[in-house]
Amino acid sequence: MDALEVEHLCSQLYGGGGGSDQLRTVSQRLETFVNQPNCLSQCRVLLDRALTPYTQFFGATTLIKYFNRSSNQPLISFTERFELRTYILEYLYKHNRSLTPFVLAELVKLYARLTKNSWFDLSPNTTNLNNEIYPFQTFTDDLLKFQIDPPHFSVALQLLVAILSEMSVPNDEETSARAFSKHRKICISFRDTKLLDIYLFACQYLRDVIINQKKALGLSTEFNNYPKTITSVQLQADYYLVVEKLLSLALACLTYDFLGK
Amino acid sequence: MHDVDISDENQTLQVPLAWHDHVVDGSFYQLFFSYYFLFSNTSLIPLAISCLVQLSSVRRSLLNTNERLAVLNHMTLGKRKKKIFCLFVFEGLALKE
Repeated sequence: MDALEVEHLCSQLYGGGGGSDQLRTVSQRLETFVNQPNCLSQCRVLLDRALTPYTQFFGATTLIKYFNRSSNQPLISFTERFELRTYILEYLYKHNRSLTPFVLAELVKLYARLTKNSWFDLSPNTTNLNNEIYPFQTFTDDLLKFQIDPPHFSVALQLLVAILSEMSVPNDEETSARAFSKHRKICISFRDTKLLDIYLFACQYLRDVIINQKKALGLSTEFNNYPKTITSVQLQADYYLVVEKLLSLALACLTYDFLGK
Repeated sequence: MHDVDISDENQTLQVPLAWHDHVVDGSFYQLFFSYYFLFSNTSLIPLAISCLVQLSSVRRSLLNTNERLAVLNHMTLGKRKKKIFCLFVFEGLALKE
């Protein structure tokens, strides 16, 4: 089964029409796609062609399934995983306005899952063990270029929120004791290395928002001076979305599972 | 065994020691309160209040006696608006439910 055939099956499955028996066979065939050896490359073809949101969605969910299987973990090389991560980031950067919300959500989840699963992976170039580099822990640097405009920034914030929830809550694959203790170790490592910085980052932006709004209203920008009256400022739609995501991010930091329970 | 009493620490926010300076920093409370004053009747309010509620439930052992008082003062906007604070907490707890 290659990407073209998957596209055809997807249009049958999600396009409506067709008897229930036919739909069942179609979905059964699609389920076997994840077991194919060339699954990784074919999913990328699906995403690149971006024929319909459904094929994009199918490509993203299949990749999540593929990377989730613990039996697959050792088979997928570091380079493959790191490349895929870079690819998703580029993809989100390039397509961000045109992505349907459910495709965006899946891609963001895939990125977060990859980051978590590979958290302690050392770069293959590491020779000196005293100078360890964990390439998957550098995600904050990768997101810097998303700060160009509100729609991009909003995607970056969504990535951060997804990473936080991925780190904080064991996913449905992490049920065995071994997987759970790995989750716990990553959860604590994330707490100690990244969490506070993300929180301060969100608060810094939130502060700028308040200062700008107060200036626009002609109020004192001193934080001690609260306005005498309660106002309801209307923001531009895409800017509002960013502010909302920033607050969600701050809240996600404060509701993090600090103890790794 | 313990220097501090931790018997009531089960339901609290277990922030690590590294967060201490930011928890006692009044500007964070002022920040979230500012959202309450400026963006009334928007979906930002529940998020800002939830942040305040989380901050208000930090573990006791993170702070010493003076800092506890200081944080409480931040939460009550000085002494002026204790009512508002109570309102916040009730609204916030209702949100959490």
